[in-house]
Amino acid sequence: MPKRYSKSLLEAVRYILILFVIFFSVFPVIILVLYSLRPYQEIISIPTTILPRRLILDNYIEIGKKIDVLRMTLNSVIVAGTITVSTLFLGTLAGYAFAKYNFKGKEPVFLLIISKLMIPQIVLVIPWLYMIARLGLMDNLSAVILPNLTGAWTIFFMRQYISQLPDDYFDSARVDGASELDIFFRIILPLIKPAVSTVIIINFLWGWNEFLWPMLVLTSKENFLLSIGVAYVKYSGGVLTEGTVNYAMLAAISLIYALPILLSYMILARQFVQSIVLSGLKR
Amino acid sequence: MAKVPRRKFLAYTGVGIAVAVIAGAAGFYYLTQPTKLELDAWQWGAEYEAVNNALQAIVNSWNTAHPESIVKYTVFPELSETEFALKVKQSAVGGKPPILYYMVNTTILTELAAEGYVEEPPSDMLNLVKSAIDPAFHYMLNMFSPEGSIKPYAAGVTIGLSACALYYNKKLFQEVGLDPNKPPQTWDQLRDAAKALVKKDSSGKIIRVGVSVRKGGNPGGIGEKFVPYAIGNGAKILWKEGNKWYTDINQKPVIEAAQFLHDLIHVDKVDVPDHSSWGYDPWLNEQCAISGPLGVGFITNTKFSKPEMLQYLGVTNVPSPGGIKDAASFGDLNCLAVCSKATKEQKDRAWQFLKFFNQADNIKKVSNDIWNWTPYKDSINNPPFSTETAWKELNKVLSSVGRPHIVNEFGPGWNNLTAMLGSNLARAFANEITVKEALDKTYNDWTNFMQSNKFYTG
Amino acid sequence: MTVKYSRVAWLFILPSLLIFSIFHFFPLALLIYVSFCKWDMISFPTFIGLQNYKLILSDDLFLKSLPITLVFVFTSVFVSILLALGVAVLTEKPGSKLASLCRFLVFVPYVIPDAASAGVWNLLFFPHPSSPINQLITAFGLSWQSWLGDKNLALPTIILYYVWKNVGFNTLVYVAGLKAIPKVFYDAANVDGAGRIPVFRHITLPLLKPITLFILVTSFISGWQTFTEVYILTRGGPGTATLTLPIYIYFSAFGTGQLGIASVAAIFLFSVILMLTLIQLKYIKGE
Repeated sequence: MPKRYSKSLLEAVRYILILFVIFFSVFPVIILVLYSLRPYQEIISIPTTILPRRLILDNYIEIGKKIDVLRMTLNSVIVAGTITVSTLFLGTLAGYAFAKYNFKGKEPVFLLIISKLMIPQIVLVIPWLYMIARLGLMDNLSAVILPNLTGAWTIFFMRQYISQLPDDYFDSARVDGASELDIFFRIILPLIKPAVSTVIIINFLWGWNEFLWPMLVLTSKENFLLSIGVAYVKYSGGVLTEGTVNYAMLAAISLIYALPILLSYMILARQFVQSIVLSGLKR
Repeated sequence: MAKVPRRKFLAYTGVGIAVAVIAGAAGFYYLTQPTKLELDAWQWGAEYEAVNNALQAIVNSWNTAHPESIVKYTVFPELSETEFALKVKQSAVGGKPPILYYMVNTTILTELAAEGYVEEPPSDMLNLVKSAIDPAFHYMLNMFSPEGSIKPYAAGVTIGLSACALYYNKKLFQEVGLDPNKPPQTWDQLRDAAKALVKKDSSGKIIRVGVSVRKGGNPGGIGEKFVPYAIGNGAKILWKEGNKWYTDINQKPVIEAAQFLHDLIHVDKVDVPDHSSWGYDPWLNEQCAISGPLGVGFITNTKFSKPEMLQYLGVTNVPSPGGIKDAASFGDLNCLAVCSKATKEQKDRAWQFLKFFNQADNIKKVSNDIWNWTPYKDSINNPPFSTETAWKELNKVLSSVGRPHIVNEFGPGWNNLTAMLGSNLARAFANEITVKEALDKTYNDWTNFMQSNKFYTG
Repeated sequence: MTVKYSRVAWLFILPSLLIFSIFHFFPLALLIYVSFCKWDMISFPTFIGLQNYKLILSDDLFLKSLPITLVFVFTSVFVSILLALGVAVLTEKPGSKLASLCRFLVFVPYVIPDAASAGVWNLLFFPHPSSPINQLITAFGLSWQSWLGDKNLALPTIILYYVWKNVGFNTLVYVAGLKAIPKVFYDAANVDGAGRIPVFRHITLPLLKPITLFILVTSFISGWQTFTEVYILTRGGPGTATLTLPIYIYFSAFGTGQLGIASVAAIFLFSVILMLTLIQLKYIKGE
């Protein structure tokens, strides 16, 4: 008897805890959406409510007048997209080389490449600014893309994934006389489709997230990225004194910026999660 | 599987990759190059909307008339003063400097002028500007060292020119029993007034500050808004003797001023320790009774955001221990200037644009039409808003603040001095360090900076 | 493998290696050189020896940023890992729709781009009685706070942000880890009649050690580098309450133009990350 009683109590507690976790994760996003549709004056009036009294689109309209959202989105897409395609190609190539070939200096070079992950971007932007200015690439989207043409994480991940594939595939192909690149394109790539989608998602997310370096190197508003747009609105969107922030507009621009990624997650969740999980397992 | 010879395939692919990468890079590079003469104008900070719109209207009319040399202006609201200046210099190194600056900040303009990034206006431009501005205020244009070590009139076209003042709410004064026509003139009076005006809720939290002290946001702004209090107490801040520049930033007059403001927050408790009480909004929402020091934008912003508050807007000098006779202010010069690192063609075009800008009806758009006070003869003699009390009071403030008290001894390193001062004061106002520690650190950091800065040796 | 193959391998690796050399290793070397120079970023740096290293030791902002960063990284990482383990265990009921929903939703904060999620946090905690969180706590009778504007609460609020954002990712890694534990172990324990808690302590936890260490390493590396969110949330905090090392580096380089000091701090940050990683890797190897 006591065991059954405590079991259902445990279940109830579990249930409540799960609900709490869900609330903790999702409540901020709900607030984001709600508040982006409320007037700023209503948000800061005393007293006020969490639930809106009325919904308006003014914040979005004001943002559209203030910055060229479409252009910024396009720039973000170009940057993130180019980074993703390039990293996918170059990173997978390198990962494959590490996975299936043996050569002198393989491990040291691999460690060298992995060590790049430990260099924080804040450390690199100082020399980058100097280098890019001297190269005449200031205010150019390629300045944002160039340092990210390939990725150590992608190389690491691809190495892990490809090394799992049985060697038989390659040996038999090589016996048939196929060239190395043939093997890469015709055998490997089709086999690693799940990994490819992971790499695409992760790198696009990272590219979309780029903030510090673009903020430093881009100077014309046509080249600004959407991430810079968020900071822009935060520090200017308000009623224009230093320090005053229009939180309603901030909510609106944050939602605009987050929406593409959020929507992709909703649609691709299963793939996304499976791949992350796979990458987490390998050690 | 087709038997393609391995070496050939590799070679082809290798060449293919190389070509693709180079083509892609070149493509990006050329795609983002301007195709016609574009006059890049950079604006630091977000001005109040009325000015931004007026500027954009003038830019639009120029662009329509001159599609082969359009002006495009970019605003950088998220950068601090020193970050902006660095961006300008880096872009110059990279060959893509802005052509025009729209300065909403005198300190940046001073530094850029001192380091050779601002083009001296041609004499016809200078005469045009001088002839439009009322002679009584020509001295304000000379806001960079009177000795001329930093060229005067580095400004191209003046859009906003005023000194700063304190702004108070007359209705609240009456409510708490203060005389709305007798605003505080000394530090003691300011303290007492603020104590009467502060309002707290049942748990003791401040819901309306008595007087708001600038302690957050861009560090340069913190330093700049503090300076009038210090000068009113006898400080000199920055001056030149012989060939060297000196500062008294860690001496008694400055310490006393900083301590006064610090105590307003932590001893008299008439202001909150965070930055939420500063600016136009808290004053407009009656969550702050006395705000400033700020420029004429306060009046303009009130008119355009909450005109019903205009009748309660009182303007007065920044208090000093000696009262109104010692009151100080800082000059607020917003202007369009030309970058000296641009090409000759770009610069010539820029001056043409500025002459277009300086025509009477354009000036009217950014000045009289929107209450953006600039001492243009036209607006002095025939101001459209002369009947408004607030504007009259500001005028009184500006004329009562004598010539010697406007900080016109800006010099090299001013941008960094105010930035370091500001960030250290913010820490003192947050009670992290003492006022004396903050000012000593400012002095040390700034002296170090000046010594290791190649431009300023000697 | 024959020499032919190794040449091909090098060819595949070369583009990546080239890009890393130009944009990561060379700048690092340049930075190390610059730390011994005085520099204004316009002209070429001039050598001055160890002066910057001496200067930075007397800069109390630098000394202040160290404990702040330590507290931030350690607290965020440990709390988020513990919570992640908890959530993973909590949702371990196969077939439960609620549990799957929970896993799906807990990952959402991680997916939101950094600038936007920082914006969300600014919105929740803005220093005003009417901000969402303040409304919640005043409903429970507590007085409203300035949160990110309060020098005592700013850092905890940022830690909470980090936990909120990263719990989802860690949870999913743990979920995978739990799934990977062969049922054999549990079956054996059941036969022996062991209770749930001892099973967890003596079987599950040890088997999760490799994953935990993996998450620890990667979380530390990214925690020490966190810049964007702190910049948007507080820019260093009220005064210097949230002045983490990356923020310090940014402001001394681009805010006050003290590039020599900034380079030293940058190299210091890199060394810390390097050391921590090596220590942790050694610990894993020793297992």
